[in-house]
Amino acid sequence: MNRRVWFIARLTLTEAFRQRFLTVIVLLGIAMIAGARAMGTFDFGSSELKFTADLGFGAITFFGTILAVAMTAQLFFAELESRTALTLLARPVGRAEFVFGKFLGVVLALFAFAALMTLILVTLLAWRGSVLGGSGSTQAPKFSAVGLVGFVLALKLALTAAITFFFCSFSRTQLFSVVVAFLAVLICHLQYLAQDAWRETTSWLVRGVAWVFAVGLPNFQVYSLGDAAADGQVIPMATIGMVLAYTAFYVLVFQVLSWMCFARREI
Amino acid sequence: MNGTPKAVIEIDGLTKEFDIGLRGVRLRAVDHLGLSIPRGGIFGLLGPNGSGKSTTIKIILGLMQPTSGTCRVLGGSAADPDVRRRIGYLPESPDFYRFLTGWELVEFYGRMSGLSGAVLGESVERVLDRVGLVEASRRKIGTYSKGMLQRAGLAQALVHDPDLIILDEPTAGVDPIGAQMIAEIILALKASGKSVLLSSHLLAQVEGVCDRVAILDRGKVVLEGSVEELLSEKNRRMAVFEGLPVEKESALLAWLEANGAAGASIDNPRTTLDQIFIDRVGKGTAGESGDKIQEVRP
Repeated sequence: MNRRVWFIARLTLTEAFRQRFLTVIVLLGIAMIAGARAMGTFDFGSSELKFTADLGFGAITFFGTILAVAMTAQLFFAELESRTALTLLARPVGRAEFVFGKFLGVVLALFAFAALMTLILVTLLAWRGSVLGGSGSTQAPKFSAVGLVGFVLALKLALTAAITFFFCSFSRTQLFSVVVAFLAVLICHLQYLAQDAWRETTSWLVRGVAWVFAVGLPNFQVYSLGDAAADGQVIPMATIGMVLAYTAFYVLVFQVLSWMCFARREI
Repeated sequence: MNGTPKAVIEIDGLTKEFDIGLRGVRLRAVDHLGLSIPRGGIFGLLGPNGSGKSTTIKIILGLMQPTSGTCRVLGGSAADPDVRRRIGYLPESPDFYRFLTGWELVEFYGRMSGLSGAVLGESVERVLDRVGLVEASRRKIGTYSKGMLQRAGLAQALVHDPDLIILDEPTAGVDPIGAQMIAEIILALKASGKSVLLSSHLLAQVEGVCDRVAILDRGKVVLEGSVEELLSEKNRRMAVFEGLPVEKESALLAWLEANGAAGASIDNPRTTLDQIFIDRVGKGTAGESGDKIQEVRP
């Protein structure tokens, strides 16, 4: 890897770890996972371990998405507002190196977040599994599957960060980037509606708009492996490989778009 | 210096317009600017806020594209990384990574300029010594005073030993002692053969530093020349002396007038408040008060 990209990523990671926002989100995430037992009355009839796993994956997704959007925008705009971006780009540092370095730093922070949350979830599941013994554990989540889902959710967060980075690369304000990125994430979650519209509608206009959403934006349903893992199913490695390739493709697309926009940007 | 251009920066017909959002309305920040900044020495780009200094500097550095006109830096284009490798830049009021120590900050920028290994360590040490931050180099940037922050900024601009140093408002917000220290560093750069482009609206502070200046107003050069040329009143002469009794002064004035001197006067020479501040407050201190941590016991 280009050394300059790595140094920018390392600096971004250090900056991310020093943000109080990250600490608050991590603490909230831990509190939500750890509080699974207290919320057992809302388990809707499922086993405690399945409920705990569901809640844990939900916490990683919910808090991780907030982190991926807000932290990416914050770290990007902080470089512009503090003028450190000027000092970097006035050196033999290319705009692409800056974009990829910042993004890599954010992704490392998001992977660390997902890894910590997954570790806490696995520990909690192991503890409750040992306490409950055999009772109600016939469909207990498998630790390997929980770990793999943690990895898949980290990939989803990385893609969310890439989408946010794209909006940051051309927008003038942090608020605009955050709002539009959250909207894009919502569309990505509801992307099956666009795919249905694209397949079923006869109107060329609707079909065209639906095509943009159906193909241009990733489908976040691809990352919905948590239910299977919580039900105690094994996650095939082929599925993980496909999700990895899918993420890599869209991350590359959004990073190239980010670079193209940022290269034209006057700072 | 065979083949080396005499000017480090050559600007011709440079214009920069910004779209300000209204239909068809554009703001012209730089207006057909022409400048040739000579190699060696200190060139001051002066002017009020909004006169186009920072925009010009950003175009020189390749951070902005001109609407029209050309800008050549060190014989090439700032779009070329090899050209940028030879430039050091301190932006106006930077807010560096507060969680890094002074050493880590300069080391990071050294790495960004391609330095590594023993050369990097030596460069960081040399440049921190040059700006007087060796003692504070292990402290976090967040604990630095404004003057120290600017000197840390100078250190990052100098770590890779550039040929051309561009400083945007290096003394803005800095007290007279800090400004004096920065001025001394800039003069030392000139003595070591570097070319410095300095932008400022604090004219009195750069007066004693720059060899040549260009004054910008609304994106245009309204005055350019050597500081000596611009400041000296060629038709007037000044004599400074000590020990002449007051009762003899009228005789001296009469003699001057008899010999053709019109409007002669005798008065006490004046110093500046800056100089008094530096003499009184800065005397005997190694640097600014923020350089050393003062231990406070309850």
